[in-house]
Amino acid sequence: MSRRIALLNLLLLLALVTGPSPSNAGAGGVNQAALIVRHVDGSIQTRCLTFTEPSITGEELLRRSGLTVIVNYSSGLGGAVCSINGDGCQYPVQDCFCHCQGIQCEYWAYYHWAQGGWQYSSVGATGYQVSDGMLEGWSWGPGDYGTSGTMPPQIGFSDICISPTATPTPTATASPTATATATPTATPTVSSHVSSQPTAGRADAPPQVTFEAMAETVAAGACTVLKWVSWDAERITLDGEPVMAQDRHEVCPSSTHTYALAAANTSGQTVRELTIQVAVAGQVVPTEALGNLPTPAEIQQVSASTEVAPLPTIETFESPLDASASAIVPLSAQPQSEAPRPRAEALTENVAPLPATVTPMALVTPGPDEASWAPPTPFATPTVSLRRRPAGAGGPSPTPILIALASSGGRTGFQDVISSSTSGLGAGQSAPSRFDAVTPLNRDFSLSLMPGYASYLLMIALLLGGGAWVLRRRNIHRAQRS
Amino acid sequence: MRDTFHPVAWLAWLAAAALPALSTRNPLYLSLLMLAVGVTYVALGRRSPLAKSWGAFVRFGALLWLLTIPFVALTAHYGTIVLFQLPANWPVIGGPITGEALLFGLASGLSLISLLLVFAVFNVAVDQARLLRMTPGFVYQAGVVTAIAVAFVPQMIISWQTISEAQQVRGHRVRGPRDLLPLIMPLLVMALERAIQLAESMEARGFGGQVITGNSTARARGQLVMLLGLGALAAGLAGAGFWPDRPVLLGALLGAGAAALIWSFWDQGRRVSRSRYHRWLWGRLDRVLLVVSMGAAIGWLAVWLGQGEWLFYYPYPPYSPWPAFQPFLGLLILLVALPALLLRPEMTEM
Repeated sequence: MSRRIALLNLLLLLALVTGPSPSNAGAGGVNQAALIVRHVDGSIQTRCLTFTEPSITGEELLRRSGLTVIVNYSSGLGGAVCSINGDGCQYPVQDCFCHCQGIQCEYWAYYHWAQGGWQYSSVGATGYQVSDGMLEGWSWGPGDYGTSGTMPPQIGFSDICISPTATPTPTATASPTATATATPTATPTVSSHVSSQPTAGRADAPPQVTFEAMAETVAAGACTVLKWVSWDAERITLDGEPVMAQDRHEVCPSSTHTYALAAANTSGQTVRELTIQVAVAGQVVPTEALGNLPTPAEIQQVSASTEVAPLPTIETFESPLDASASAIVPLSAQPQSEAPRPRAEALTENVAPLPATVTPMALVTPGPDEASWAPPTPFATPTVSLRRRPAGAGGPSPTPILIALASSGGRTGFQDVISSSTSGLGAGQSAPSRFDAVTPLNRDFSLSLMPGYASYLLMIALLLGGGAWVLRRRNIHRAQRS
Repeated sequence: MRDTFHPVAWLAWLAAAALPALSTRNPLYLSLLMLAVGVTYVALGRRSPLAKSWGAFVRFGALLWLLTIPFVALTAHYGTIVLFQLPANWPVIGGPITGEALLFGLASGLSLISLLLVFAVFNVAVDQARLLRMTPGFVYQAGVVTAIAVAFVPQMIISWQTISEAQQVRGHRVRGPRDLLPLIMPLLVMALERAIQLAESMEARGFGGQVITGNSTARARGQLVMLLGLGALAAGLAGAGFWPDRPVLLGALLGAGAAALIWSFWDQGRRVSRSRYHRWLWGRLDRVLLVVSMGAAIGWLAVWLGQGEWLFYYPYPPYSPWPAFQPFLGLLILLVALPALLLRPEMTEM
């Protein structure tokens, strides 16, 4: 009797566990989820995916985005993302956390957008369910595996998934909605955006820097904390003093002061300036070195309209480290046509009134297959939506990690390893492009494998023959002894 | 147990055989390795009572392998070769069951069981007491403890078999978990008794006493050098993270630390007095096995470090599920079967 009760309890438990979850209520509808991927160089890819299931796993969402993902399943406890579009570690030739072996730790951190901010995922992507309206982020950067990472940029769900059924805006050059068949079980509609920092680069580009303050306006005598994270930098200075690649520093300016963070490597120098304004009885103390930064009135106006803090000045210089060298302003050189206005320009205007030397961020839309990476091509749009700074290179981790060396690995040698690995695999592999960087390998059986298989069979036969000879010799010896 | 080859030669063989099992999941290499190790095992035969217990270990490995395949197949739902679908709302196991996951489970299990087979054959071939004698003087006590720890599981299996036979003679039958109690209790008692006997015999032989001779100044000097060496090594390793642009300084720290430690170990080792009652002789076959095994191990290591993609196998996309095979690596694995060819039948008798 007790066995029957136990069996009944077991069945009941099984039914509870495997039964339909509340999220299944929406089954049959078309759901949308947004995805943000922040790459090694700080460039951003966004995806809006639709799916018919009530929910899918975070890993499935990433896969359906069409990005080339390498996942390590060897732990048996779900998959760990090693590489996205070639950025990261080429498992299994490299360790899945090849940049997280010592004091430095850079990896693909997984975030969920919740309560107006990014939340570090406490579970893996395989075990996390993504349902309608959710925004997921993957970001490569320094962090502490399991507790913190580099946050993706602050982009809202509505910035990525503009409308579930929206047809492409009839513009001259853009096709913002692309249809792709990512998995056998679903045909998601993927709308893609790629935003990039034009000055971004990897090993052969100037360093990437994020530089921000806890408060950009302080009372006289009060203090604030400057925080920064840099990538690919060999030398970092704050107002001329050497500092760590990722750190925080408390400052107590007596008057408005502009702090300059300079990160340099062999390819150039990136300088970011941040002005801490000191207010005395409701007034701002005159600046020490404001230069051509926007006035407080302009800042207040922008803050009121966009709720986005003014951007620090960004200047990028060619190597050698000479302040007199010409500034590189790739996108600001776009023609300032009247109508239609380039979207990049429109966005810049809506984000912050930047001085002439500021390098703006741009949203570009690649072709439906994103087969190649080309310089960003702004496209016209009749409406300009308010948008937060899309490529802010992610904020630093909530608990900054002391990084002794900014990684100079850049692309982590993925392309080279993949290309060389094809000789062993006998499968074709073309050189990856920038986004969709890794062309899928030929996974079909190749005749080039046949000689190897023939030699394998020959060796098996040799070993079997050797084993038979050993047994025969031993039997003969036993027979002689007996 | 009679000698087959010199333990050092067997250690070289262990390196040559274990490296493939540790470095690749390619099922072609692993299956070839299993066959080569199996041929060696057949040539050796069951040479000691302790060696019999490793059969249980290998069976346990095979069981793990059989469990690994469905576990991976049911939990990793990724791949293009979809075998069948489980309902998506089933927790953990719901979703597509793919051929790639099945292949990965197969390859992972093969790696595990290959490693178990390699160590099983090594334990059959080499007496642990002989291995114990080879431990350097300064870690002699740690070597004794390690040897006892390694022998724990095989001895427990032998005790289990002995108790089971004794209880069967008394008419005991195992029909459920409760019937295991008459087997577990004597096993526990035997283990405790053996531990006490071992402790008494070690105490009687002076284990744990001061084996390092020399005056206090020499000992203090040795300890100071070891402390400095460890400090320099720690500083060098930590500095590699903080000051990677100073390779000369870091290299000097690491080199000095390593040199200080090596000198300290050597100094302590030469002051340990140990008695040796048996002298090993190197024969021609020992040298052949040593050289060939070292060559195979170095060759594999060079490929692992220099041509890692040759060992590459990962069936999940974007990679190919078809494993590649390099004949050169196959030849290196064939060398693992060399002891089977060198061993004469009379050498393998107990």
